[in-house]
Amino acid sequence: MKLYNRIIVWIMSVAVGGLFIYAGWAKSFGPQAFADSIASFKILPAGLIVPAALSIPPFEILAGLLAVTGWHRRVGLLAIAVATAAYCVAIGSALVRGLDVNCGCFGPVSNLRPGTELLRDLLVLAFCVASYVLALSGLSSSAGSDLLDSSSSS
Amino acid sequence: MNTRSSVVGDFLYVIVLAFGSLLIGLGINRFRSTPLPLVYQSPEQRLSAELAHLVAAPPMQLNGSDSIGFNKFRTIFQSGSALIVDARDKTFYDQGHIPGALSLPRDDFPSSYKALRPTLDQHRDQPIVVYCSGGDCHDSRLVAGALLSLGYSQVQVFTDGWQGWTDNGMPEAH
Repeated sequence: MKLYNRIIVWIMSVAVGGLFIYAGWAKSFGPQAFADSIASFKILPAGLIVPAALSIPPFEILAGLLAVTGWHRRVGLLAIAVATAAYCVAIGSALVRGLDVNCGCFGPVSNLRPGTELLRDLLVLAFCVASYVLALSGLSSSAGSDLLDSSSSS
Repeated sequence: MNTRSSVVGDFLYVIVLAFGSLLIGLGINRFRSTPLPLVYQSPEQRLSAELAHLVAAPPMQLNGSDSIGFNKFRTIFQSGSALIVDARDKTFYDQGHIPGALSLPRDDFPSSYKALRPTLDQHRDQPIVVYCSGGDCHDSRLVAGALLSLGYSQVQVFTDGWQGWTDNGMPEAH
């Protein structure tokens, strides 16, 4: 992978990874409030809301750490992309149904409008997909010489 | 390793990450001081459960200042200086109650409390007098104890209750 591609991947990975570490950390202090936020989307059945509220914060922190540290960076970026795509679908469906939801993305302090949340998540998703594709293309072009992405050796 | 197999491999890692996160989340929840129940309860359900728990607690132990007899209650009633609460079953309330009293039956405390909450909250630091049938009835003390636990500071029990009220020929409302 070319040097400037490596730098772009590194900057975007640190940015979205750091964002996810912060988001997971902020949510981990109020699982009940986060469960209430998830319930307000009226997508998941009652039996899945609490497991989702408990598992999303550690998932975000771990995915963010993988993206920031570079250890299995592609996995971290893909995990963030998958989670962000799910958030986009959830927020988009809430907007379509006219629900007044608080995504709880950054814990109880986040109070952006759902439309703004959706735009931010789409931006994060675009960053993740671009970074992942760049990292993947580096893998295929440099045949394992990509030092930025240590997951290529796994 | 081609691109497709790399993507599939990455997806498998993401699935492992998701399962690991679930286990971590469940483990952390298990050691919380108040673990989240695994089946979600809405805020309304949690409030109802908490209210039901409060009203099921041991009845309030009355001391001299917590309980009032007929004469003092009549003075309070005539001055209109307190909110009067009827803790009997709604059926009895409908058959007859002290004029101006609100129905907050012990048997239906959670839903009745939620309905009356705006009115009760206006009297959070003002006198509230609770009564039931009279004699040995416990409903007034249970409801009074629950109201005290909910932060209402001046809750008293009219110990003579409905029986004492009607025995003295006082007015009734229906």
